[in-house]
Amino acid sequence: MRRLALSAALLAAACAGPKQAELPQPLPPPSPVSVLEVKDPNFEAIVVESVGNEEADFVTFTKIFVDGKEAGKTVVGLRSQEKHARLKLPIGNQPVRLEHWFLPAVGEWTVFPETHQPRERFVRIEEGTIARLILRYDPAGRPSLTLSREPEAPH
Amino acid sequence: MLKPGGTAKGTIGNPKDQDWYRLDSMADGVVTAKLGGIKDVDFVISFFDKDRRELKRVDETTVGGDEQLLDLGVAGAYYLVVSNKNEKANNPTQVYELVTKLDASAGREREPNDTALTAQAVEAGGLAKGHYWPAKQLLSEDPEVAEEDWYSIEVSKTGLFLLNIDVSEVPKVDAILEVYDTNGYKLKELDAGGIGEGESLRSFGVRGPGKFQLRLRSKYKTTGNPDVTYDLLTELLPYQGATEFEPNDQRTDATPLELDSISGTIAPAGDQDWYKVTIASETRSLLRGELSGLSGMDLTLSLRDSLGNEISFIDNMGKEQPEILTGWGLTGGEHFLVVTEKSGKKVDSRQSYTLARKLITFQPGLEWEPNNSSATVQSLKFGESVDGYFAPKGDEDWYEFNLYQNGVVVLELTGVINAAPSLTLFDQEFKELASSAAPKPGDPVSLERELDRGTYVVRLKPADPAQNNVRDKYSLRVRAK
Repeated sequence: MRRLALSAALLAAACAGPKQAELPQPLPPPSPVSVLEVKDPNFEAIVVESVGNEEADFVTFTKIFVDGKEAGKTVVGLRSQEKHARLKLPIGNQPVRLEHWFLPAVGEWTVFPETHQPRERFVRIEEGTIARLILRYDPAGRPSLTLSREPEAPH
Repeated sequence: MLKPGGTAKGTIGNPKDQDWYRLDSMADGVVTAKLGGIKDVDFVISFFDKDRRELKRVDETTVGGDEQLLDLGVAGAYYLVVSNKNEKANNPTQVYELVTKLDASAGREREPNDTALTAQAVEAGGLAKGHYWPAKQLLSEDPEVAEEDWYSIEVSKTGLFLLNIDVSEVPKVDAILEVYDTNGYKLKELDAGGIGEGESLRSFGVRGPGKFQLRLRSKYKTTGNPDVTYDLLTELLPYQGATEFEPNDQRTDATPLELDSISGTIAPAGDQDWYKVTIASETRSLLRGELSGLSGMDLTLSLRDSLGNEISFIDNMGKEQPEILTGWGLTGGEHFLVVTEKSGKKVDSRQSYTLARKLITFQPGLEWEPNNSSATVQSLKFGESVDGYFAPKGDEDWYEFNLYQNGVVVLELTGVINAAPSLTLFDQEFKELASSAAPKPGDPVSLERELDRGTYVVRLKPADPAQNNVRDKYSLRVRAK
C-alpha cells in the first residue's frame, strides 16, 4: 500500500502536465533547510530530487548508514529542497549506504522501496578533505550517486 | 431523344451548332458516350441533368479527334450535348456517330464525383471500377485542374476498425490516393507507386461511427487512360490489436502493443511505426523486442521514453535480417518501440513485419540495461554472477561490486560467439587497476587481483564495437580465490 502511494506520487511527478490549463505553476523558491552542524566534518551527503509538480512535492529525509550502522540523517524537508548532512566519519574506506524516507499524505514515515534506494558504496575518508556523496533522484524516482572531494574549509 | 445504349447520328451544320440529346434511364445505371471524330470539327461533349445543369464536360482531343464521356451515373432524365470548338469548321455534310452504352451501376464509378461534395458512397468490402478520365476537369474554376474521383466510406458501427484500400495499376497513370475525415482534414496521402503502378493502404485505423472520404487522382495533370479501368477495393476489419493502427507515425498516435506480437507494414516511404508499451505495475521488468526481417529492406528498431526521446537504437543486422532489443530495464510507465526502414526510401505495403515483445520480471543475476557507463553502473553482489548481452552494436556493460574484506578476487567472463571482449577493473575513484582481453571471438577471459576492501567497477567491452550477439548471453562472475 505504501509502495503504491509512492508510485502514485512519483508517477504524478513524472507524467504531469499534458493539459495546458493544468500545467503546474513554477514552484516557489524553497525555504532554506537548516543543516545539522558537526565540528570539522569530513563527509557530506547531499540529496537532490527533481520534482515535476507541486502535488508530488511531499516531505522526505535521508538516513546515512556507515559500515551498517546509522551515522546520521539529513533534516526533513520538501522534495524540492536540497538536503545536506555533514558528518565526521572515521578515516579509511567506509561502506556508506543512504536510505531515503518519505511521509505519505496519510500515514507514517515510510522507507522508499528497494528499487528507489541507491546502492551501498565505499567512500574513502581522508584527512584534510571533505568527501561529498550526492544522491540525485530523477523525476521518475530513479536514484544515482556521484562522489566528489574537496579540501576541508580552513578553520 | 436517345435511348441509353442507342446510337445517334448527326451533323455540325455550322461552327456554332449544338446538338442536344435527351437520355432517359428508368433504372440506375452507368452510361458511356463515345463520339467519333469528323474532319474539321473539334468536338466537345457535355452531360447535363434534367434541370440542364452541366455535370461533366470532355474535350480531350483537337480537330478531327474522338471524344468520350465515361462512367456517367444515370437514373432519370439527362442530356448529352455535342458541340464544336473550331470556329472555322466547315463540314456540314459529314455525319458523326454518338454511341452510348448502358451498364449496371453496381461496382462502377458514377460521374460526377469530382469533389468532396459529390463523393460517391462505396461500401467497405466492395469494389468500384472507374477511369482516370477525362484528364482535366473543365467545369472547375480552374479548367487546368486534373480530374479527381471522390469516394466516401461510412463506418456505421462503434469501435476501432482497420481500413485496407487497394487501387490497381493503370498504364500511363501515376495514381495518388488520399484519405480525408468528415472535416476535410487530410489523414493520409499515398503515392508509393510510380507510373503504371497501383497504390495500397494497409491497416489504416479508423474510429466508428464515422465517415471518411477517398480522393483518387492522377499525379500528372495531362495524363489519363480511357481504355483501362482502375479497381478500387476497400476492406474494413474490426481492430483486434494484432496489427498496427495507422496513422501511428508519431508518439501521440502510437498503436498500443498489448498482445505478444503485432504486425505492420512500411508504407509510404519514410514510414515510422510507433508502438506503445505500457507497464502498469512498479515491478522492475526487462523488455525484449524482436523485429522480423522484410524482403528487400533493412529495418531498425528504436526504444523511446515516455516523452519520445530515444534511449536505445537497434541496427545490429543488415538487409532482410531481424533486429533484437535485448533486455532493457523498465519500471512502470509508458515506453515506445519505433520501427523504421533504414534508407527511408523503401516501401512495400504487401508484406508485413512482426514485432514481438516480451516482458520478463527482473531478477538478480540478469543484466539491467542501461548499464553502459559509470553513471549507470549496475550493482553486482560479490560471489554472484550476472548474465547479459553484448548488444546492440557498440554496447559496453558496467558492473560495480563491494568487497568487504581484503583478498584475491577472480573475475571470470564466459566466451560469446562473435565477441572478443576486454574486461577492465577500476577502483572506486575510477583508476584503472587491471585489464584482460579475450584472444579471439568466443574465448573466455578472466582476471585475478589482490584487492583491499572497497567498491570496484568492471567494464566489459567487445574489442570491436561492431561485435555483438543478441542470441547468446555472457556470464560474469566475481568471486574470491
